[in-house]
Amino acid sequence: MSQLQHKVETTFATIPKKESLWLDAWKRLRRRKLAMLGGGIVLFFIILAVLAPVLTPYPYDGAELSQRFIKPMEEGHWLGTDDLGRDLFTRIVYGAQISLRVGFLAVVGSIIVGTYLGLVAGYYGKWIDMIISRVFDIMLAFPSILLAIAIVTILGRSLTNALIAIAIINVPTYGRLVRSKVLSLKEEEFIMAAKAIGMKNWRIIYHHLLPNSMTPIIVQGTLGIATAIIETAALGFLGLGAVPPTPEWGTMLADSKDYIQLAPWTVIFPGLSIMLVVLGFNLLGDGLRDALDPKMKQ
Amino acid sequence: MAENFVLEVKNLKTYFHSDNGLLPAVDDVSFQLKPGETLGIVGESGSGKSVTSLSIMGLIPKPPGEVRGSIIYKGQDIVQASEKKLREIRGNEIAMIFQEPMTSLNPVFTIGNQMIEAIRLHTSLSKKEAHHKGIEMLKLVGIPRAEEIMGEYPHQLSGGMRQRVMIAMAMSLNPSILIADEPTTALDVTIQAQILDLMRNLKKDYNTSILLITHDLGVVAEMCQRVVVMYGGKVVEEGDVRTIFKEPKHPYTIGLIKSTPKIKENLERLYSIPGNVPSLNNMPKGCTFAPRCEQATEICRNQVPPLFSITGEHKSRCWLNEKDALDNREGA
Repeated sequence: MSQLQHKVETTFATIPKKESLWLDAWKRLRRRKLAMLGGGIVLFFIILAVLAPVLTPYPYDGAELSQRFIKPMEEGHWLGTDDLGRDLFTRIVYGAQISLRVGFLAVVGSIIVGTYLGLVAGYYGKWIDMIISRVFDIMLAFPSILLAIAIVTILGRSLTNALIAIAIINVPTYGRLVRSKVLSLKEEEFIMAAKAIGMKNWRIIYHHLLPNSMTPIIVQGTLGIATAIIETAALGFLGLGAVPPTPEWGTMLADSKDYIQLAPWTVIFPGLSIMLVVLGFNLLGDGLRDALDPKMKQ
Repeated sequence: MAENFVLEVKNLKTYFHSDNGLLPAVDDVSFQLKPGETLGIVGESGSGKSVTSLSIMGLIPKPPGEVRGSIIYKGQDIVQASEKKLREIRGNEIAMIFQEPMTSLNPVFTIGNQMIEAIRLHTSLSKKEAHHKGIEMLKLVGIPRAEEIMGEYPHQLSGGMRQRVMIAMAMSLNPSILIADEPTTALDVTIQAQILDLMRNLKKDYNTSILLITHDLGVVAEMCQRVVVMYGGKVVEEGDVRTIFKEPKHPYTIGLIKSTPKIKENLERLYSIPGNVPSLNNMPKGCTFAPRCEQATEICRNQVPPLFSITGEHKSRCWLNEKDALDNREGA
């Protein structure tokens, strides 16, 4: 044995590279300027949202009718005030809190449910897959915003219900993604090897299939936050999301749209915020996809 | 025969249901594995050798697969065994290593992680104890820097190293049977020799029986005591490794041996058996090998030959051997 061991030790040149997959991905991500720009935008809004109470002296819901339609950069209002004399900057900063939170929670919700269903459908196949996949197909047959409107109409208008609706309509996206990933992973030899050492099904699912499906979920999730934020704003704009005076960006747009000629800034700034955040998440997501794609690795 | 077998496969039939009807991937295969023995299962691609090994592990997907017959391990028929019972046997009692070491480890976990998981699956060792056991096993299979390798990912290792890890993992539970499905096919020739060396040494140390599935007769000659030659889902010849190489009886075995390069002869062209393994949904009526056989006669094309016993353990499924074995034919 020791002779053999020695032979091996001299035969095998050891591979010097020793990095975790994530560190590797981070290094590749850092080289992508657009992704870093996207990440910067996202980080900027996160900081705004977290520091909201510190950044502004005004309350987001304090109507001050004597202060209506103050132009940006005048009288201590950086972005001016709206039709009720509320400081626009304050409302946008608090709005960032709402949009990011709703976007994030909705995506997390969709991912949890979608991943679970996708894993089950992909791994067990047969009739379970049949049922889950057909339900996904049905949900995807509707335009998603229409489905969201229907769900909010049933549940009643509120930010929480908008969040739930958005989470529900995005479940099939993640479900299908995970299912397809599982279908290909299932044929991999290491899954057969896991079975061959006597591993239980649920252990194979959670220990082998789930971690190997994480990459596409992370990418899709990052892009999904952008979609969720737009959908929240859309529902808000349609009067089905947040209830005033909640400073939700879409609701703000809807409330100010009548004053677009009188005070364009009341529309421009919420709109710009939505655009920027969505752009940020999309750039970051695209960068993540490139950085995490194993095919790009070589 | 009152002999003691670790594994006894009796009339194993593994069928797959398909649009073209029932496809017999393994058709009435019987063989025995003795303690501490290395049994080679040889055959071309599509001869049913891998399906046989998966049937033993109980890893044939059902449906579309269907397994009949019996596989007796320690006096228990594992074809009928429950999934729970099978899980206890898998890995713990019968371990398996696969052909493709590049993909048989989970790419997102470290080697240590996977070793520990495999060990803890069947033992009550703590994480730390399992970690030590893992290092010990890696050292045993000749992996240098075992402690460091435990913290590395599969993509950081070469194919030979990964196959060593797979063997370490399979042997860590001290199974009584190791099924090796073409363990060296995907490796370089020099690494092949090392892996075979390693398996031979482990077998000696642990007294494990090995079921070696391969299409490489060189590997068989080097490793096995007995050989089962499979063709078209059936056993066509079975016997002691010396007998098979010295006096092969079945034309298929003869062809296989003829088609391996030999050092002494310097032929321009290597012999090859004409034709291909018949597809499962288009099996010949008589002997499955008849369409490719130079010596095929009328009876070969019409009647399936039984497995004739020639001498002791040497059996051949060919009508040409009928005369040699009329007295002690079995299993018509």
